[in-house]
Formats: sequence, structure tokens, C-alpha cells
Amino acid sequence: MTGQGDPSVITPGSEARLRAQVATILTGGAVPAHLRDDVAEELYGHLVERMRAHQIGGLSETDAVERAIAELGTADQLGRDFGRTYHSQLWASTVGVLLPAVAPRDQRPAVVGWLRFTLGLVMLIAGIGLAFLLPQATPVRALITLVAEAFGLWAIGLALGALARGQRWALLYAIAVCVGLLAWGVESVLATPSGSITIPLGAILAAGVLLAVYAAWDRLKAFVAGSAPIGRKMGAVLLLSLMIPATVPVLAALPDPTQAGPDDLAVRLSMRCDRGDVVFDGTGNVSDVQRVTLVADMSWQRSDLLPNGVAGLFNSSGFGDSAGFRLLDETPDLALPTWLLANGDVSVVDLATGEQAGWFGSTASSVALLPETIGSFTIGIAPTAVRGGHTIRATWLLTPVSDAGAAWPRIEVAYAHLDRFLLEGTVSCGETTTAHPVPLPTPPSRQMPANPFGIPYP
Amino acid sequence: MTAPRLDRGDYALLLLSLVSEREMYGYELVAELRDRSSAVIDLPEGTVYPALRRLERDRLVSGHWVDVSGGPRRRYYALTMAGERALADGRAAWRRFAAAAEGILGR
Repeated sequence: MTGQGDPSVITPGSEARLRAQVATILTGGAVPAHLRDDVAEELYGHLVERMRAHQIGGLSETDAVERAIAELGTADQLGRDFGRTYHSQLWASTVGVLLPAVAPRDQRPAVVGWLRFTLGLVMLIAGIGLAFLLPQATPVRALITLVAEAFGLWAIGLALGALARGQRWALLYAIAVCVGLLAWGVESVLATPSGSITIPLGAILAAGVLLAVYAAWDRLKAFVAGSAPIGRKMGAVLLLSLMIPATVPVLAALPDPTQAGPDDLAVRLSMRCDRGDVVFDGTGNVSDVQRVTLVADMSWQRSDLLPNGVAGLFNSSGFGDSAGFRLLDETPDLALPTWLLANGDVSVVDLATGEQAGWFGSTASSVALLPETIGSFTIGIAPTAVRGGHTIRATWLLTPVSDAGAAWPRIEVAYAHLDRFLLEGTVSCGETTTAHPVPLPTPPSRQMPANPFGIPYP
Repeated sequence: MTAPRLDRGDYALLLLSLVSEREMYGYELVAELRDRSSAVIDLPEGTVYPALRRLERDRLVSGHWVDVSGGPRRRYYALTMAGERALADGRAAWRRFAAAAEGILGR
């Protein structure tokens, strides 16, 4: 009790308290901006009148203020009521439940700022990562990634706002994000190959914030004490928003139906062995030379839709397929193979149009899938040449290194489509065979999303 | 058994009925509801304001500010033509419902 005072006079302290309560009710977007001042004035007028009535009834100004505020109803409930008034049912049952303010700003513990900073940083980095990854992803993967990450970003954004307003769910959400960040950092460190160092800055930040949360736990509990339960359904949605973005790497590893698979490509191999004339670049026509004509027909039933994402439309550098072959039965320690390309060149054409579809030598990343010994005979296939219903024919002409009669070779041919699959087949003189899918030569690196703030050093 | 409770529609009907008598402002409406119901209807006072704003949004009442000497302005609400029709319909529906309930509970 501070004494009754004059009911017709409201002290600055009481006015500030009442206006802060009104501001708390209206924080959270429940009332459209153009009506906020109007509603605020109406609520403030009610509180003042009620306060004065209590003062006349014998309460001190301080007690009258608190009684009037209590009788008005909780900021949380009133915020929701206004939300239902001005927004759709969907908004009212989601954002309207999650965002109402329940605690004045001046009661906010400092650690709330650090929790919000962490959430904001995660949001920023996830957003930047998304901006880089999405243009390079195939359509379905891009869609899955976008939906999942947007779901997560939506929830983080809401938590960022709700935490400032004293919502308990947002506090728990922020703690969960910090725990996740910490676990992620520990996992990244443990997964770092020996000889490398990972500094998990995100995990270090999260650990510091969690310690601060532990130290300020009582003040935090008081800060969120006024918030109402958000209900099981909303809790489940928020839990999903935490989990689903973490499953993106797993979902993204599933086959994208818009992309061609090994079943969409038939690679037929044939090899003709004979003797005849060969025109060499340097020496001209030479008669009665042993010749091997190796032909690989790559027939596509369908091609990929945006195989390198939207970014691939503007930059095809480093993309494309690779094919190559190696001579089997060669003595491993020979410096040179017994057969070489007759003119250091190869023909790669689209059988339907006759257009050049590739070139000798490949600089595409797909060449990394071919066995190393094939490297010297590789060809690159232009990304634009891979089209459904088209067959690309590669023809290699080989002659023996030595004039002495050379043994006819057996040849293994490999075809790598981007970094996705590899077909291999072996062919001998006079044979026609089909290449079949084989496992990629090295297991693909574990597809973990980049650890936020994790800086790997080689 | 829990006590019967007003739903949002019932609450709006009571507000419409009160402002049909004369223009009133929020604080006054809260006091009238409490007094006339002998404090049986005693919702948190603030709930009257979202309800009034809903009625205004739906053009069943219209609000206007009135200056008050020595205190904050008051926003008075008056019934509109649409509000009168809604009130008449609501009253009829409520009476049918009350009579039906009374027919069962009054035995």
C-alpha cells in the first residue's frame, strides 16, 4: 500500500505501467498496425477508469493499477482474442497462439538476447545456405529442401519474436536449437578425419548460451510464467519444424523422379578387329595395319530435367558426362599401352542429327567416376547433347604401338553420367555387348549439410 | 457438471442488446453486463474489446470517440441497421433455444 492519493490524478509511474500493459497486449501483430493506436487508447482508457474506481473504493494507486490490469485479463488471452478478430482462423490458431506477448520488455533477462541472437544467426546462415543450394538442386530436391527449410525458418522466426514476448514455447524451442547446434558441432568434430581440424563455432556459441540459460533459469521461468500452453497439436508442429530440416540430407539422397537413372540409358558396345589402311596425321596412309574400331552407342530414353538446377541454365562449366575405356590384359608395369588411338582423336556424334555431341578428353567432374586407367582415352559428352530419344555414338580407332603382330585386345568401357551413376561393359573382337550399372568407385562422401559455423581446415 | 458458458456468439448478442438501448462504451458495457447478470456473467473485462471490434468489423455496430474532460477519450458504440436485424434474429433464435431448453430442464 502506498496511500490512496487523488483518483483524478494519475502519476507518471502508473501511467507508464498501464501503457506498458497495453503495449504488451498489442505486441505480436494481433491488431493491424493502422488500428493499433486506436485500440491502445481504448484499452488504456478502460484501465484508467477501472483504476480510479478501485482508488475510490479504497485501494492505493499501486494496488488499483495492478487490480485493474488483472481484471482486464491476461495479455496472452487478449492478444489471441484480438488475433481472432482481425485475422483468419488459420492465423489465429497458429501465429495467434504462438506470438501473443505475456511479459513486458523491461522484465526480459539478458540471456534472452543471446538466445535470440543464436536463433537469428541460425536463421541467417540457413537462409544463406538455402540461397546457395537451391539454384543448384534438381527440381524435386529443390522443392523438398525449400519446403523443409522454409518450415524450419518459419518456426525459428516465430520463436525469435515470441521469445521476446515471454512465450514459454519459444524459450524451450530456442534451448532445443542450441542443444541441436551443440550436438551437431560435437558430431562434426568427431567426424573430422584425422589430420584435419574442425572448429565448431556454432557449438561453442550454443554451449555458452546454454550455460547462461542454466545460470539465469529462475529469471527465465519468471519471464515466461504468464504464457499459456500452446496445445499438443501446435507443440507437435513445432517439434516437426525442428526435425524436418534435419532430415533434408536424407530426403535429398532419395532418387529425384525428374532425373534419369541407369535404366534410362542403354550403352551398346561393339568392336570390329581387322587389317586395312589407316591415314595417320603425321605419316599419311599406311596399308595393312591392324585396326580396332570400338563403338559405344549411348541411347537415352529420357534426359534429366534441370540436372544442375536453375544454375545449370546459366553455367554448364564442369558439367556433362564422360566415357572412356581401358585395355584389359595389359601388363601392368608397361609404360605405354600396346594399342593407341590412331590419330589421337575420336568421333562423338548424335546419330539422329549428325551433330558433334562431345570431344576427346573430358574436364567434367563426372570423369572422376571413371577408373583411373581409363583416363587417357576419355571423351566428354556435351550436357546439351543428352536428350531423350537420341543416341550418341562414340567411335575410337585404335592401332597397335608396334608393327609386330599385336594380340587383339579386350576392352572395358565405362560411361559416367554426371556424378550419379556409372555403366561398364567389356567387349572383344567381333562382339556386341551392353554395359551394366556398377557401384560408384568410391563411396560418395557423407551428405551432411555444412555445419553452421564449422570451419574445416585441411 | 460445469456451469453453462457463453460462447462468442452469445456474448456478441448481449453486447448488441445493450447498445440497442443507448450508445455505450466498453467500460460501461462491462459494468452493465456484470450488474444486470448479478455477476453471473463476469468475463475478464478486456474480452469486451475484441468482441466490440468484431461487431464493428462486421458493421453491426459503429464506434466513435467522445472527449472526456480530465480523462482519456471514450469510444462509444451504437447499433447499426444491420446490427438491429442481427439482434432481432439473434433474440428470436435465443428465445427458441431457451424455450426448448426450459421445456427439457424445467420439468
